[in-house]
Amino acid sequence: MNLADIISQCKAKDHKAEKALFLRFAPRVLTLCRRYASHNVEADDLMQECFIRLFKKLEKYNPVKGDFEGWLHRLCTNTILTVIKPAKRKIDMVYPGELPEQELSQSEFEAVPAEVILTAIQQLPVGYRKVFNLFIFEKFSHKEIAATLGIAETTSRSQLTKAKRMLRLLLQKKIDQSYERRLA
Amino acid sequence: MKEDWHNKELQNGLGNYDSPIDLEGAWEALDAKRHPKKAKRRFAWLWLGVLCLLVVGGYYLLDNVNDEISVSEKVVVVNPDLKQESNVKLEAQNNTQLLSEYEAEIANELKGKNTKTLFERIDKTQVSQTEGNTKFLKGKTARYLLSGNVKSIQAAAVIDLEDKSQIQDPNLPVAIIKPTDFGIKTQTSKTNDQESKNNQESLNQNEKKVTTANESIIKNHSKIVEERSSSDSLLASAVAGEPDIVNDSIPNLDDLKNELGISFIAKSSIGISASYGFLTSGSVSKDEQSLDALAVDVFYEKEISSAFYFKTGISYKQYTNKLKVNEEYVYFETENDVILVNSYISGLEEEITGEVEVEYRATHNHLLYNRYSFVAVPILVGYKVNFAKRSKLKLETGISTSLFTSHSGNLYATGLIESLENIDGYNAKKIAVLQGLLGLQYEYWFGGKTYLFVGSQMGLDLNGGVGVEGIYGARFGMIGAMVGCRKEF
Repeated sequence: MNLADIISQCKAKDHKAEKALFLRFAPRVLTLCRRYASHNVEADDLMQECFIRLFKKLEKYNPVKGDFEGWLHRLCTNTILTVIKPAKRKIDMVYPGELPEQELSQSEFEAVPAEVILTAIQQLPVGYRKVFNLFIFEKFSHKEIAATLGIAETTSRSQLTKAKRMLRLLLQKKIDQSYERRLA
Repeated sequence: MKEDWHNKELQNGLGNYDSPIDLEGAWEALDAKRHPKKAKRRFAWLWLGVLCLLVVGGYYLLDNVNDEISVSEKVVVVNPDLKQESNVKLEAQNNTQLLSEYEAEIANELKGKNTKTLFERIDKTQVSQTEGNTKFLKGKTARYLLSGNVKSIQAAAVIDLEDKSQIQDPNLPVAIIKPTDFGIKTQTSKTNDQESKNNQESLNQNEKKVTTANESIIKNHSKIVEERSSSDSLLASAVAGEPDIVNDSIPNLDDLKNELGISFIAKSSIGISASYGFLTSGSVSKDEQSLDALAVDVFYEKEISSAFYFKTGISYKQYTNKLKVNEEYVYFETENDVILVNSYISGLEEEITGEVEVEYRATHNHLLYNRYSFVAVPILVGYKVNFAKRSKLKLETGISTSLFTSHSGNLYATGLIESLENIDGYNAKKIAVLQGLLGLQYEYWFGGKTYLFVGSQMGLDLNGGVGVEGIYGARFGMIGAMVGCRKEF
């Protein structure tokens, strides 16, 4: 069954087609959710919200206006940004001075598994994480990020910089830990 | 620019990355969230209970509301012809048994005598009331009466036609009086027009007499009932603090009441309860008299602090005093009539005229009731003490205003009305009473919302009425049950 047929039957509220659509896109949507979530349980909840919204809004999907994956990606991103709330808990502030200036080499970076990167992204503060995701993956400009999140552009730039530095620190630690484990 | 390749690596690395996932499990979780099973209606049983309560309460409230003083009579007439001609529902009764019971004695009394009086036998001690020629006799001791000027009767014995062997002396002049109607049968089949007319008039008079007799019975009976009511009617003034309006007028009243109740708590702060109360047996002086009460309370409770709480609500109480009347009256009326007498010896029939007593029996089976209503609005402040892990003590005090609304029904208690009228502020069967309330309750909690309780409440009204109430009960979640008793001083 091709995607168009699945979507068509989903619009007719066919339960099997809905399951087929879910099985097809759940892993990708889950990755998206994990990038925004603080942990995997929250990511699972976000994914459920995304699919619930998807099945409600599927009627409005028009193939002429774009491919389904892009439409799904935008819908999920909007859902996540709507659902996810700023953490009220205390955030461990990481000051720029503490962050490593040394860049990871390309070979080192390529050796880092995707799961490790996802875990590192989840460890970023919520604000950093949102800006980081929107800039890197959704390819938003700082102006768009500022409008979406209701922050100043300078704040967006600042948080992106800090997010990257913090991510490098986290990845470096994980690389070092992995290296030590291999040596041991 | 150094970071550009990082961005691209990230985009390439995660952009197309599929996270590991238990797809089937995730789908089931999503499906369950999208299509949750219809939640079990937690309060369905509660509404069912409330519905039952309303049905039972409604039946109770409406029961006998339209009942009136009704005298259902079973009038037994000695004269069968009267039965046939009268519009009044009459029922003949075969008095063979009565006849046979006395025939031997009568035969001895009349043996060898030529008398105008056949017999007259009645236990006069049982005459409850006499009005002119009308006698009201009570109970089964009433027998029969035959007296008057019976012309030339040649009878010396009264026997059953069906049993001629009872005649001991064949030479004895005997009048065979048909036993079907107590030995006397009125003549109604005259061929003479004038006589027929006379008889018809006589029958009409008899019918009128019967009607009058019925009215008289009702009138006198009502009078009797009213007299009984004034001494026996009672009202449950048992609830603590309610108007003590009948104690003085009802000396035999024991106002100890038992009480059963059930309650529903919709939330911790709002609930409804209903209770049914009844007098203990033997608490009224007359048989077949009962007193019961129904109370419905809606209450609201709000915590002021961890220890203090405020409680209010509205309480409706209704007391019903019922009196079942099951009495039989025997009514005799003297009538001039024609009597057909058969001579067993001569075999001839002889018409005689004279006065006979016609017997009427009236059986009264009816229910009388009085109903009184109270509406109370209590305002209470409570204090909770948790002196042990499972133990809780509550102390409540406050005031309540009660409105004694009225009474309805057909059992008029003159003593009660007089008692009401003697209370200051009483106005046309309505009275408002301010009461002081004091309550103490101990609760033993088993955990959750399950606990046992024992409590006592006391009320004092401005008219001097003091009442106490003891209750014992249990609560399981939102449903509670209790038993209790009340006493007023």
